[in-house]
Amino acid sequence: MIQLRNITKHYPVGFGKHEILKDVDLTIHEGEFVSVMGPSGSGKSTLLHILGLLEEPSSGEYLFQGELVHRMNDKKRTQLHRGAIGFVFQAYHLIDELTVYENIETPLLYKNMPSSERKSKVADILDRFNIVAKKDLFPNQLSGGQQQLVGIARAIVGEPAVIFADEPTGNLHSDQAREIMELFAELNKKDKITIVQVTHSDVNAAFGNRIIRIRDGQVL
Amino acid sequence: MFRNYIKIAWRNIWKAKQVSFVNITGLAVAIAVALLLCLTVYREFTFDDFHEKKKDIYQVYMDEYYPERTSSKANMPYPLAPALEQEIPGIKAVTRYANDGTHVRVDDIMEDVSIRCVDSSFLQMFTFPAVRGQLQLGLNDVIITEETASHFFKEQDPVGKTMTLSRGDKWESYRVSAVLKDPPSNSSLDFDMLMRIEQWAYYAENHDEWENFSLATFVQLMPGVQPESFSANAKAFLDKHYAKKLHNMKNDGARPGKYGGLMHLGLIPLKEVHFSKISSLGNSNETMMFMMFFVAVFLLFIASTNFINLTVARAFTRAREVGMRKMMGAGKTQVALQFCGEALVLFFIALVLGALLAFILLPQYNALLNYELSFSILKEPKVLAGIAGAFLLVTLLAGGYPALLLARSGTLQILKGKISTGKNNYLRNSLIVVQFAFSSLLICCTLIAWQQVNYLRSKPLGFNTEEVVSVPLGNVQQSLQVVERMRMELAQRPGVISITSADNNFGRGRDGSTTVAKVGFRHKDRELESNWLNIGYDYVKTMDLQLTGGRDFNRNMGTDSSGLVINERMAAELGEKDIIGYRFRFDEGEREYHVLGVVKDFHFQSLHKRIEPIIMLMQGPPAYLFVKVRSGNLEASMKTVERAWNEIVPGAPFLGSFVNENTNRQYNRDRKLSQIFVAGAVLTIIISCMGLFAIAMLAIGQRTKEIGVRKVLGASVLGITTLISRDFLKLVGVAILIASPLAAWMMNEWLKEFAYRIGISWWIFAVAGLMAIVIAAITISFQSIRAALANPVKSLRTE
Repeated sequence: MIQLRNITKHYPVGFGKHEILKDVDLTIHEGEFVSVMGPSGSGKSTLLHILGLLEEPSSGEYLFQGELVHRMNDKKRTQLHRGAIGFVFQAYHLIDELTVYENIETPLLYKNMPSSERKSKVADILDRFNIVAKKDLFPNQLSGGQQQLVGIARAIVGEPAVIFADEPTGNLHSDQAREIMELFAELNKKDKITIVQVTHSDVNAAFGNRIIRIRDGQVL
Repeated sequence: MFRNYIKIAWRNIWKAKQVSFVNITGLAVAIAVALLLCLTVYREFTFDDFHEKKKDIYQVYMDEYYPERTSSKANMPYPLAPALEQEIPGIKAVTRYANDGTHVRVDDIMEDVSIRCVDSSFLQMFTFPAVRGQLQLGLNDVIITEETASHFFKEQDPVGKTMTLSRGDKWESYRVSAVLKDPPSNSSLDFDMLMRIEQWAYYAENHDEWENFSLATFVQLMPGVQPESFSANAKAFLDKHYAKKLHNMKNDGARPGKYGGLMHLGLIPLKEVHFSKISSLGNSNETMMFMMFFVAVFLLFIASTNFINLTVARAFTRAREVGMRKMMGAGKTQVALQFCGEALVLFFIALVLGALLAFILLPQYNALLNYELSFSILKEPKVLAGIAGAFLLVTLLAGGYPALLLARSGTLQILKGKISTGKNNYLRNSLIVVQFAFSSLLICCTLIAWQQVNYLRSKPLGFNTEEVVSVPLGNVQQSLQVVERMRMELAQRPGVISITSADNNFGRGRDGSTTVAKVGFRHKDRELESNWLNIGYDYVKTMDLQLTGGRDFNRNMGTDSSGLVINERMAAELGEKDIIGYRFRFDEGEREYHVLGVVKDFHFQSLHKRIEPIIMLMQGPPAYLFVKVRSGNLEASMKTVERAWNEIVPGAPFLGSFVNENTNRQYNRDRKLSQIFVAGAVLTIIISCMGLFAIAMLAIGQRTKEIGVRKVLGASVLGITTLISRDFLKLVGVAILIASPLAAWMMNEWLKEFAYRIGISWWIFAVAGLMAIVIAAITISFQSIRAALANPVKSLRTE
């Protein structure tokens, strides 16, 4: 599903350059639950951004579902963001002005889904995550764990093939973190969603079925 | 989707209450004022638009190129119109148009009516449809408007009925042949009654006089005929009818004007008559309309600028939302659309509020500027389309820029809270500079206009303006006798010093009329021109004119009926050494006049004009009565004059006023202009400062951490306040530097309209600049002092 070949990423610093990723070769198959681990500054977030089409590699090839990413135009990428890719963030990044219901509904709006279908999808997700009672609340009225739940609900409502999660439990205490990770594992098993998460915690990484360790921009 | 946008827009507007308040209030006020101003401009520019043949109708004017001056006039001699129709090809119809007015009686109803004397073709040329009767104007017919009909005939059908008009000393009967719809309020041609030009009081003696210029004359050209071809054909026409005059002009050294002749007959398109400086029907000022339009555009621009600045500044706080949306698959257009939608909602609220405000302000506005504007103009589809178009344009421009900015930036960057709004806020800064440049421009204009109007009001005019009552005699019969009886009646009263009369007023009285009478004559091989004023006894004494030689008219001297009192300018033009007692004739073989006295130059016309020569003599009936009263109780003296008037001419309205009221009225237009400046300046400053206030708030919000760190390191409150204010005040300084020369140039152009004017001094710009800086500094200090006083622990905790 995902293939990286000789991916490097560097930023210009003064006259030289600062290398973040060096010659990364990586394959992730459909249905995998991968955890990317490594110390701060090792390049794991950058790797995730490249995988999520948010950043361009400086060199190397990236095939997403068999297609070369650097050949894609903006429209195609937007299409992938609408359909194939979901994101979950450490800081949740919910839209403060929208209610829980509306936050979950937003990706469907961008897919131009008809209203009735949209309603039933959102209702399903709310039901499944047990947050029906909270649907009219705004994000700042929820606890961190609940916000992340909404964040995940929003990421999967569009039925993506892969979810990229950037330290999804970084802001949560351990009980909440466990619930979230159990949810990820369930999504991976039941819904066959490929999951790539960046994490510091060995406990969280254990929920996945593969661990990629990264240090100084290189996959070990 | 759309509902979702509107919902978010609404919540965002609600969430940032302060910023939204600034945006909406500023825009609403700007829209209200712009709406009023634009409606005014629209009304003025659609004057006389209702005539179906407006494209082919023109008013005739004449230029004469004398060696030292060019005289332009739109009043034509009596025989010109019929001669034009016969001798110049391409003319379909011609009409003359003369002002008249008299008492009209029907049974026991008597009223003053304003009459226009026209040729019968008038009704075919102009579009004044008949409600009853036929559009035919016979020699003994009158045509009246619906309003006049309802005054005199109530519900009856007036067609065929008789109306009795006071003509000279007798009453004459006329038959009503038709009733017209009332002329619309945007018509230059306004009347209660039409009658044939042949019935005009002065027609008989002047109908073949080519040197009496007094009738507005309109021509309708054949479709497709150009006014240029008319002027070309008119050359031979002028050569034929003014052979002698042209010969004299040539001998005096006159040179052909820009059209290649010493005289030129031109055409003013009907659409431009309203703005014409030559035509006596032109009473609007194009420059002022453009000023109004510019002020409207300025205001909208400044309010939109606030909107752009605030939206861009707030984009920082909204960056995360946009980033998230893009990550969820929102396209550029969708993001842009969303932000445009927000702008649309906000602008729409402002539009509704603004329209409401304009509606509430309309009566006061009309009263202030003496306009008859009504909101019924809004029913016209063209106006509605214009407003909708302007609304969408402003929304698109003001909403589109921030939208584009956000939609364009990289997803990851905005998600991390980094948005590039251009290096060092160039756009924001230049918009602030432009705002304050407008503000200081208008402050300068206000100061200068105010100084000039004040100067006009306080400049000594060379005659008594404060203690003289001027009473228009109107249509009173036997006015000379009325003046004499007033003289006898008032002579006894304490408080009255002296009484006189004249056939022209000073400035503009409560009767609203003003006339210019001039005489042109040859004197020692030079063509001279002078104003011509018929006065009564004691004129010099009553008006406090200063004799520099000779004497005023005297009742005891029989030969004074051929005497003249002239001003110094006229004396200089005549160029005689012994001017007192100098004898000359205006026309060969006519009566000889002699100069009785010379008075010091005085401003009998407005200060727009230099003092011209004037000849005063005692001939013809008076039109105005002047009473000089003792200073002290002026109000009581006015009452005395009014009582005497009501005794002597019962029934006639008393329209007396002090002369200084009349002379001040001449500058109404200038005062209006300065009022527009003042209002415009105040509004632009308020709206600009509202924007600055909000911008300062947002800018400080972004520097919270810096301010906190500085305070921890020991910066004082004053130090921090200056630190923040300095950046903004620098911009205001740049704005002043840009605005000052512009203001100097603009106001110099305006002052050129006045023959007597103030000089523009440098301190005006210093004062204006200081005002702008102080106002801006106060505005910013609200925010900056609060930021400086805040506990640094709090501001640092947010990081």
